[in-house]
Amino acid sequence: MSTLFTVDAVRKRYRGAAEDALGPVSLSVEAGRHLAIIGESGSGKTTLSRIMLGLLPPTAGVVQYRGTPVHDLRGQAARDLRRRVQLVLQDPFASLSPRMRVGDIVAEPLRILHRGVPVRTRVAELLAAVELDPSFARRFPHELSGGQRQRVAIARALGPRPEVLVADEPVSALDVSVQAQILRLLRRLAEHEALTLVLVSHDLGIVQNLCHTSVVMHRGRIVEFGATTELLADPQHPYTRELLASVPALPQHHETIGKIL
Amino acid sequence: MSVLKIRKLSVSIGGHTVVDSVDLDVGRGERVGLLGESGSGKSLTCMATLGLLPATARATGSVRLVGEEILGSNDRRMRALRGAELGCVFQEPQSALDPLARIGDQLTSTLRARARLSRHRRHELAVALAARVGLPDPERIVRRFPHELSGGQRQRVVVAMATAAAPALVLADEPTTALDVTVQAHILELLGGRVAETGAALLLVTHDIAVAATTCDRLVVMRGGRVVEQGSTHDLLRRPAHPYTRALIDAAYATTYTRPIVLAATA
Repeated sequence: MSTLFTVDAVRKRYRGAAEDALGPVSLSVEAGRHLAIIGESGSGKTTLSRIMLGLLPPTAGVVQYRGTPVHDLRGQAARDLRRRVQLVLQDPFASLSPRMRVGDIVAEPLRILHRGVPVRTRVAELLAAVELDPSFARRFPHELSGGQRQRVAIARALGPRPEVLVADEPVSALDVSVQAQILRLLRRLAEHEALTLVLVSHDLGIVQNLCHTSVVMHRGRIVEFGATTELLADPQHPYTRELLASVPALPQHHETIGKIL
Repeated sequence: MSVLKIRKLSVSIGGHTVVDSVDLDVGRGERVGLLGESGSGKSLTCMATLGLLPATARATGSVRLVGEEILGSNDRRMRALRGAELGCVFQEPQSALDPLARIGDQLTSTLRARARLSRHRRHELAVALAARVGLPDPERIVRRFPHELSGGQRQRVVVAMATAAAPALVLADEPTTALDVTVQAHILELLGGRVAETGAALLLVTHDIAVAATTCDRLVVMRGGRVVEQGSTHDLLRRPAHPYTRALIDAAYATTYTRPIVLAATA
């Protein structure tokens, strides 16, 4: 198994701040795994993901992608990282250009990063992969529902055939029935495309349903790390315990109980 | 007797029916969860009960609060009822609080509406209320302004205001949606505790089945402006009758954290 991301003693202090927003934090992301970065607001989870993407320089420490440091990449090497690591954000209404048609939104990274592919067929293929009719290519974002917009954002991210998909609260803005659909889609795509997933989320339900491994962040530090099932069943750190105890959980599903017993 | 009795409530905006013939009862001291996704009509049902429908909305039917018909009541009457018989907690405590008024003055606002209180007495009451809802350092916090408090502390202030005058009904519309989950747990506990202490009934409007299930005795599910199903929390989660409720619950189970059950060792 190969290691994609290596985060080594990364710290971040924002300009003018008295304290570090992050770190020092170290972790690695193995190819094909689904890793969750769990945390509440101010935990540093988003700062960490932005540094991993090379979108934010760390104050100290190094992030490597396949052995190459990400934050001083230039030119072709930077474009190559952008192609290999794609990002899906929480609010597709804010992240999709309101003036572009869906077809152009999905085609844009193909034209920039993946020259030489027949764009029109690839767009149709991508829309089909996220279960949207090809006719959606002619529509504008405001004509779509929240779930459809998030499907478009995912199609756009998948276009350049990335190795890693970083998803920052990908379903938090959606109704619960739409959340379930998008989760199913992400799971299916991750398997089908052999994607590595990095999920940034405060939502333990989403994490439980999507990720093998999890790190729990609190006040800029990783306080716990482990297999998601074990971490949720037997949390070690007091903060993780408090977090788990706080989640309003549903009673065991009758079907689940049937399966366990 | 019901503290809230809604009969055939319909609300239309610009010719579109957004709430369609809704019947809903909340008994004295009962905790009812009004569940629905966006566009279900749950918030407008709540707004009709508060007398806060937008001016462009047309409402028909009947909404009775402790026996008094409030649909079509004038603003002055509704202002008197809100606070006294009807406490409300909204999603955003930042916008529910007056940014220019000190916490202490806001805490006692629902009490001052009913009785003349001396300055000294107001301060005493405010400090007692602040302590009651677990705000740190009550003597000092009553002199602070909303922006100096955290989101969770602000929502504590709102819960204190909503329950200060021991109203018959507390209406909470997504009271914890804007909060972190550890803070959410504390606010739900506080809300449940305050409602129990004051004997108020609770109508909790939410999209989150798990939040409703942990707080409420009975659930009412809305979709497309209509009530599709209601029943005790236990029965509704175990045996949903309507296909939409079933789909909603299945979706919730696919996205909500389920606590692993620990099976006792048999050896």
